[in-house]
Amino acid sequence: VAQVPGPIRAGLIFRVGFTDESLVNHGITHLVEHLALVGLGQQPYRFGGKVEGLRTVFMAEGTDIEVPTFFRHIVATLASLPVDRLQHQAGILRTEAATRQVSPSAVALADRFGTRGWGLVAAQEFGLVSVTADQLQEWSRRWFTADNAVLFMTGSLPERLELELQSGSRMPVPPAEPLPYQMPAWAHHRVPGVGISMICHYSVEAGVLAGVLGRRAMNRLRFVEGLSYEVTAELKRLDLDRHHLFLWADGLVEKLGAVRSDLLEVIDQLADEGATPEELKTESDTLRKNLGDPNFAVHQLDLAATDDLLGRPFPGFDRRLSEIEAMDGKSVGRVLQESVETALSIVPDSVSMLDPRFTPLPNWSTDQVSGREYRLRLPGNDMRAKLNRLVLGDAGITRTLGPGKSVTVHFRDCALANIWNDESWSLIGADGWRLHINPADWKDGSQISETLERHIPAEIRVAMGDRPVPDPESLVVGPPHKAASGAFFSPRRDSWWLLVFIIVSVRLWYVFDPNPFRSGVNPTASFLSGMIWVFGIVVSVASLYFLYWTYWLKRRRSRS
Amino acid sequence: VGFLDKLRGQTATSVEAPFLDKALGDEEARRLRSELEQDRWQEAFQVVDRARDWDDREFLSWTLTDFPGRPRWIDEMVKTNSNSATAHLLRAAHSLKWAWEARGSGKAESVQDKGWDLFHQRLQDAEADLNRTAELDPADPTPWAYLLISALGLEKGAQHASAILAEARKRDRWHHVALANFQMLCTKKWGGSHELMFDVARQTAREAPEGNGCHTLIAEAHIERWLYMVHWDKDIQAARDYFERKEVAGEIRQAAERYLWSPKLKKTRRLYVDRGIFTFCFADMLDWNAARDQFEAMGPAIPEYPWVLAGDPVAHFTRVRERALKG
Repeated sequence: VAQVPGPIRAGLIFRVGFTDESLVNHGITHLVEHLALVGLGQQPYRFGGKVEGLRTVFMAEGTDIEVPTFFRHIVATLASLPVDRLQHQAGILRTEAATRQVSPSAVALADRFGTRGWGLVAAQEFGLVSVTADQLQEWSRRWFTADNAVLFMTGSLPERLELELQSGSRMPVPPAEPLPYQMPAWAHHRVPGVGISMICHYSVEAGVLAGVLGRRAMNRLRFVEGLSYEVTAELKRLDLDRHHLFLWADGLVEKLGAVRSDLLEVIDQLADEGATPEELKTESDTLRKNLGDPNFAVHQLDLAATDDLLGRPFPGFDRRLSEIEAMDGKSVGRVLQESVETALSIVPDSVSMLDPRFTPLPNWSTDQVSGREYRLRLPGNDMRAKLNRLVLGDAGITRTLGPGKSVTVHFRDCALANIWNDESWSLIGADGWRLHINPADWKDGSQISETLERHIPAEIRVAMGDRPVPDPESLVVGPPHKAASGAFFSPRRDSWWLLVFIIVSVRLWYVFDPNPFRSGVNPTASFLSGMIWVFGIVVSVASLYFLYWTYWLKRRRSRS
Repeated sequence: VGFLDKLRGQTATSVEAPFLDKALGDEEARRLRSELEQDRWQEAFQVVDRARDWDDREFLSWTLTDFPGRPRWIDEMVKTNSNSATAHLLRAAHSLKWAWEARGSGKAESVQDKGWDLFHQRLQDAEADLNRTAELDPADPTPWAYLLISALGLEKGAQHASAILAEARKRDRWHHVALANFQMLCTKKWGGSHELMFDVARQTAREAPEGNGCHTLIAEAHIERWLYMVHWDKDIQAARDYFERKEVAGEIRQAAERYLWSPKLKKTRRLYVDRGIFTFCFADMLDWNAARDQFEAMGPAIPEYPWVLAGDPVAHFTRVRERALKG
């Protein structure tokens, strides 16, 4: 509790977030949070709730009557969730998700962590489809307990504030475990700028680093070069020991190459030289100024409460200030040097990454399973039949989309299996690779269904309903994908058809008029016969000329 | 004769009749090619095998295998030297061209059914040989530079290809052909974009040392942009004016300053081709003085690229050269 003028501002924080979920029940915490707020409707005070990676927060701002009333409501609904509103709230959350854009920082986290832990920040909330009322109650009982919560509040503690949460246990923070990719790395994404994600250890220097890096990048890219509008450096706690530092700058499509180069130069320069005394002074001055602001106390309370909940006591901003004042700028550079080793750069498709330090993330699976091979239910000359293969074994499934291009999902790492009404499956691996398989698309498809039924555990299956019509992932629907010669008529074939036509025509004329140049009894008939032959010769010459242009000349050109 | 030539606005060099040269203007390559035409491969093999300048090695591998069909000597050479990186490299270089021979140089929709099968098969054969080459000679960037060509044909994408490029650049940071192949893979016609292609060219040009052939990437990028206007955008008027644009001409001249006109010019076997690429641009920029300087340094041999892009390469080269030499 801290004394701050104005209305009471309070937060009830639980140590549960989306990193505690799996892909199958992802969204369950969000659903509990929404259901806990059901029944409040609109109130004369400000309130809300949010789910983050490691915590869920309920907040309120009002009088000493309103705030306790709000928290009593939350605690009561958590004890007995209004599960009759489950579908209603799930619909609202799906709408929220459909309109929400995945941030570039979330894209980087998904690349780094796949479909587990922090990678879920960018994943679809499949829990909104799969979760049952019982599972929701169980989740609430397990995570939303008195031993797993901290309350902070400004003003005086109201006398009658009793929150009857169930007892439980303090939940440990899950370690952030990235996928085993070689770093530094980079990947193409549909993002309107360039982002560089780094992992750094928890330290005062890391906080200073984010501030200095953000200011330097903003100065260079916006004020000096005029390349970007938005330039940010965001520091987010991943687990007890590690932070995610995300540097981002937007730009026009034709300027993004320069944005990438400038960001890398800013990073390299700061890593080499460290922070200047002026930059450290700016950081300490900013913090000192904030500490003089009564409203900053709310932020301080929030941090202290969260640190306590996570199991790392908050040292306080006064101590942090003295540490910054005593800091050597070189130590900031050293933290950045270590962080660059873990860098993951996300760039739009219009930007390349030639910096030799950065390895591209694989955009195809690097391994394939062995097992029975399946082919598409299409004629052999269809290009789709030639390029697509499915290999299904006891270890997993590999779909090949062409030479050197395959996607593999191992059954042991399968995070989710969506099952559709047309009996097709969408498998998503822990590394984020996704495969959609409709057994009906493949020859002997019933064998595929049987094998998948045998290997995919029931607890990761989620029934999804009907496929969209037309199904964009169907492999056999649509016109044949044939190469040029598959067509009955083609420029080359047309020429030959023309030649056949000429020969047949001449032959027919000969049948009708076998002696065209014999002087006949009827001079008109003789003249007409002669004209037919002249016309025939002209057409033949023109046709041969056409044949020459369409075929021989084209062939000669292609050779050259 | 000199006086009459002057009257006609020509110099003595212009009297030599231009000819299409698969040896890309290189005398030694021309001589070795005539040996190979007789299935005598031993000397060519030795020359490539000895080449440890990576630009030379790549140049020779390419020019000495640029034959239509599958020459008999290729498999014989590999059979005789089954553990030689050079033998596998030469066969791979040929397989790549042979793959394109099956595919043809047209747009994807014009490729015939059988053409695709052969194309894919030959590219995969080339990849197998290139992987073997990389295994036998880990220091050589050439197989990685060529793997970019198969990655392009198999449409593996820029992100995948950049890992291959990184391998080439680990061995030779400014490997001109590796960067040029990667740039081609980034063109819009091969699934990339104009922005991506120019980003590769400009990033390279910004960092490449003065006098290095990699500065040609800028000229090549502009040629590709112009080509796209002609064949895909079908905007003939814009294409006609493209090289005369101030910013385009300026960027090409800047690249020439850093390469052809630099006192630090690195004279590799590929210089002849690079001169041709810049000259093609100079002519379309109507910078006849710059074009004439290059024509005088070049001689009558015509590398197919880029002259073939304007139709008959010999006719176009001849016409442009005559115009440039007139002054």
